[in-house]
Amino acid sequence: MVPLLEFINVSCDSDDVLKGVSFAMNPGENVLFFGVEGSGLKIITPLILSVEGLYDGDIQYRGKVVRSLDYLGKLSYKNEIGYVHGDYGLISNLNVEQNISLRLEYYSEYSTSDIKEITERLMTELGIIDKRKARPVELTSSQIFRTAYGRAVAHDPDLLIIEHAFVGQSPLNIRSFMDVLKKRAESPDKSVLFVTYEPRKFVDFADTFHMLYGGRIAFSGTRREFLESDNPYLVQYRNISLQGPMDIT
Amino acid sequence: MADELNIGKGGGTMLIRFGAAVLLFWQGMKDFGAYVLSIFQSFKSLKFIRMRSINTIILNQTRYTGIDALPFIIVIALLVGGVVIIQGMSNLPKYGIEGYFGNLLVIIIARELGPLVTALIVISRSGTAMATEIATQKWSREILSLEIAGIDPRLYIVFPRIVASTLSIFSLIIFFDFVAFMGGYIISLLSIYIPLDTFFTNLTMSFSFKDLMATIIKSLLFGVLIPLISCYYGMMPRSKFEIPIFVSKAVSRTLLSVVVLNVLISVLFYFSWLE
Repeated sequence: MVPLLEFINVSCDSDDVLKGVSFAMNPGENVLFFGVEGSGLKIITPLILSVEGLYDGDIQYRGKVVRSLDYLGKLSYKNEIGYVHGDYGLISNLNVEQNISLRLEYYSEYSTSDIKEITERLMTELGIIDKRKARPVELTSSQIFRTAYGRAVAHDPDLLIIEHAFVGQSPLNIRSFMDVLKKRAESPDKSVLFVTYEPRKFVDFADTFHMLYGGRIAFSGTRREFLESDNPYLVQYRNISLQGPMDIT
Repeated sequence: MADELNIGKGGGTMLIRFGAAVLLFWQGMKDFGAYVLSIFQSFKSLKFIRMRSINTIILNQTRYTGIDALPFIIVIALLVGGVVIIQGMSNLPKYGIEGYFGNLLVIIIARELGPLVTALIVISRSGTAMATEIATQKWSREILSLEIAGIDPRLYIVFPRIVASTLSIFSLIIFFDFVAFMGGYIISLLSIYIPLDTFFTNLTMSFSFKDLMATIIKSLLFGVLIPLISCYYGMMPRSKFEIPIFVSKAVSRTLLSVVVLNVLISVLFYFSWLE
């Protein structure tokens, strides 16, 4: 099977450092990356999304080398991925409906009626239909997050990246959203890649866990291994302890 | 000897500073050139996108840059037109050249002040707004979220503003000239009487095809240059702290570029050795 996403010996020395990281993510698999600050976690999504272009090694998406894609190839590749970040980046002069339909409106592959139907379905599912005409400044933080999620999945991408997305969210307000996320994570042909400092929040969603430290993968394993492994790095992280192989500043 | 050495050192330092400034300017021009090229490159994706998504931005920007600026343009055109006409009619007869009154109006208002004052108003209203809006969008990761979604910000943000500015500036210059001539004439009646038919005959006789072409070319170039430079500097800040620095740079560089371009076009069009 051709992996959906693959890092082959990727090294990068940018805001954060990666040293020869390799992993493969199959279609339908949900992968979680976690680690401490400065572990290399910060650079994972910029590399996947081609925001950071200076690196050694190869990143492949469905077997295609991302670096070799031309201008249109890169746009089309980015259009296949959904991304939600803790900063959300909603367009401030567009309302909820326009933010969610932005990508659908921009590319010509969807008809106007399709766009309307998809956007309404998403707003209903995410509980923000009554806020459809509100701009981001008028929304609560959980409504902003839901809108950002709606925008990320409006084109039904096969790969969704969720990076530090629940920062500053009230657990009760995002409780209903977790069911929506779980539904997506359980879908056999859709993959979710989580990047977080709090892996336990997503323990029910992810199939594979990778822990980064010092730009390298310090632990890789299944959900069970994540919960039970005696890997000293993982144990220190799980116990939120300052004692262990990781030098925490 | 020591003094001589100091002078030498000072001279050397000045030379180094001058060299560094030249290199910095050259690097800036190269970066700006690369940015302009990247806008052309973004046109490749035009066939895959729906123009409707861009048209809305063009409409909104045209409303802000063009229609909303109209009251401001009208007031300034009235005052400028009035002053030029009053000064012309009271001073030209002293030198016995009142027959060139129409030519003077065309030269001062239509050729020079119309395009230049309009451009300055657009820079002060829309150029600053564009640079600030884009810088804020960049800081709040809106630009990044567009890029990540496969939406080229140069096509989605810069291109519509260029189209809107070009349309707006062209229309505003026509308004400016018309109001300056008409309003100026009315204001001038307060201090001096010129028969209406004499005024307009004189004016239309003085207009040439070259004047029209110069106005059109100025409006097109200003329309492209103002949003281009404003958006370029708007995209620069890497932190909130840098936003006012780059907005200020956007305004000062746009002003300088517009004034230099205005002079260049005037020189190209009106120097006799080119005729």
